[in-house]
Amino acid sequence: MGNNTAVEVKNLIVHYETEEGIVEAVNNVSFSIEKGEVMGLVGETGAGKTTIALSIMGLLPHPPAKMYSGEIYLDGEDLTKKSLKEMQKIRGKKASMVFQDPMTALNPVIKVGDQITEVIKLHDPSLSDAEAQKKAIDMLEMVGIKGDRFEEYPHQFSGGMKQRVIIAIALACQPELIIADEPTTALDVTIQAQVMEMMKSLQHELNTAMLLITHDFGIVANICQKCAVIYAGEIVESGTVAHIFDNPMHPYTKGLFGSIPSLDKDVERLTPIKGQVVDPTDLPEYCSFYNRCDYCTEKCKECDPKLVEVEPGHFVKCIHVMQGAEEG
Amino acid sequence: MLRYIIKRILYVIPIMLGVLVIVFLLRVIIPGDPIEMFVRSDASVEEREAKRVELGLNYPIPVQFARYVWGVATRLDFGKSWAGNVPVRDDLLLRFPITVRLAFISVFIAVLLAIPLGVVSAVKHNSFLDQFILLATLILTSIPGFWLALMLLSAFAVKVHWFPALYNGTIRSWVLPVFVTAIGAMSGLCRITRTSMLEVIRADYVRTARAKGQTEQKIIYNHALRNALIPVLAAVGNMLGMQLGGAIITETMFGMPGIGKYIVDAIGKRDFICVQGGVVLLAFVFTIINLLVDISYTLVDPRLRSSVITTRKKKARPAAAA
Repeated sequence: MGNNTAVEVKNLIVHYETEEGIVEAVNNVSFSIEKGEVMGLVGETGAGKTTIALSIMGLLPHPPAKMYSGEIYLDGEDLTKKSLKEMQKIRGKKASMVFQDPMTALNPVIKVGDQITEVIKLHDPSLSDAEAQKKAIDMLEMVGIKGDRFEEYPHQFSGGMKQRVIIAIALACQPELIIADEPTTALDVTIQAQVMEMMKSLQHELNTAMLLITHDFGIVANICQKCAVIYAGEIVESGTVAHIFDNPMHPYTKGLFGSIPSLDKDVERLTPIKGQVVDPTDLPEYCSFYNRCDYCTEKCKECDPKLVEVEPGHFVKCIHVMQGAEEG
Repeated sequence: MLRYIIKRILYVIPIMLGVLVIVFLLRVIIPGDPIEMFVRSDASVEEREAKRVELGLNYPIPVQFARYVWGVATRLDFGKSWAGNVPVRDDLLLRFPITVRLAFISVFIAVLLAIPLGVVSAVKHNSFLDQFILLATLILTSIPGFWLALMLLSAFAVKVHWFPALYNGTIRSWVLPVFVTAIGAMSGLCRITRTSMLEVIRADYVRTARAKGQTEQKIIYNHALRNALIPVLAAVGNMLGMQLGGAIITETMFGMPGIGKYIVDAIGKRDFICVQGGVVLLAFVFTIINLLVDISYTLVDPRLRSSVITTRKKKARPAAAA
């Protein structure tokens, strides 16, 4: 792990143990993000993206969630070994999170400004109330909201404004890592672009590492340097944005691109990925994308492929690529 | 805001008029001539007619109603008791404090117990303690108040003489009635608090608070409880109103001379003018409590507060334009 690494996740396995069975939500996921870097985590609903985010924050709901293995290094320290008290000092300070739905993520009975001041006071108790408030107003203005709206309540803000407030809360203590869990999914398209643009510039300004969870490749192309595609709790392909966009190798990644409408190509119909997402309570021994894959062969059923580095920094988890690598 | 409060206060007038109509009509349509209760059984037609005139029952029904409403509205005159010829107002004033005290003390104790228990139950969801509180409150809500009163009386007043069986004005004689009333209110409130809290601690904004690194204790107090108490507030108001009305049973069981017992005694004597007065008073108090709850809502919930203020602004705008 280099000195420049902000966060590193190693061999993360998380299961949800419910009465209906064990949901294998995250299966052996590893990745790292450098300081100042933005990594996109792309996948369908239920692929385990949010579970990865909550694991890093130590916010997995116990029960039913259970972390079987995994090490999460933030600033050189393994978060999985931290006590709740130690985690409380890290949350909001070193790692913070922007949640998916801004409409419900703010407390409806507390003034917006006080919700920002809370996180500032929490991690810097030496500040006086006035100083913390001053800082909170600065944060509000940084995300493009007039400071005089400090005294207002969340219901007086629009969705996009609320998300800005949440971003202000996340950035208030200048964390080393921001996890943004589909930050714009609940917003309409024009506001999406505004919020994304703002996040991008703030992230750049503060040189914060960011894990951006999304299912929108457009956003990934716009602000990420790195990208990992996740399917059924596994990273099936990862690499730089150039790798993924110009040379997608995993059938699932190709399938995802095939289902995006294109402006410059004249296509009769989009090609959706056939079939349904594999049941996470009943994952096969072999490649979990097998049932939906256009390239599947009998060989695919023989073993579960490993992530193989097909070119420097570009990893793919597919048996065909493995073979190619072995042969070549 | 002030406008809203005044508007809500003005609402009380039509509500009370409605109450007066219903209570008065009920008295009129109840079968049997009340005069029979207040004259000798061998009284002559003239004697009966004289009594009818004395009680004011000789007027047509609408006139009786108008006279009654006029008396209540202008002089707080609820008429005179048919049996004792005492002004109903004097009786009500004498007895009302007892009913109010019983309801307020009981509900106060109930709230003090119910909210912490409900919160603990929700925070330790599915634990043994939660299950225990759930079961205990279920049993307590299911027990009828009069049965509990009887059991307590036979245990603590008859077997061991810790408390008097009948109200005598001492603090001791308050213990059992307050206990019975508080238990009923407490178990209901506790369950409401628990449900409301369970909903709130799963809310996204509680997760946001955790992601800020806030401690669990403060998350419960500052973030969850404030939201969870909004529905509880309504329940407390309701409970208070119910206890005021429901005091009929408790007061009768323990022989407390409150409004409830007054009404029951009056019904026995067919002294309907007293029943009328008692019911109107209880309905009035109930309405006022609901009014206070509605107003306090806007203090607790900023969303309601601004909805109240924006309606005023909306109305002000066309006026300004004109």
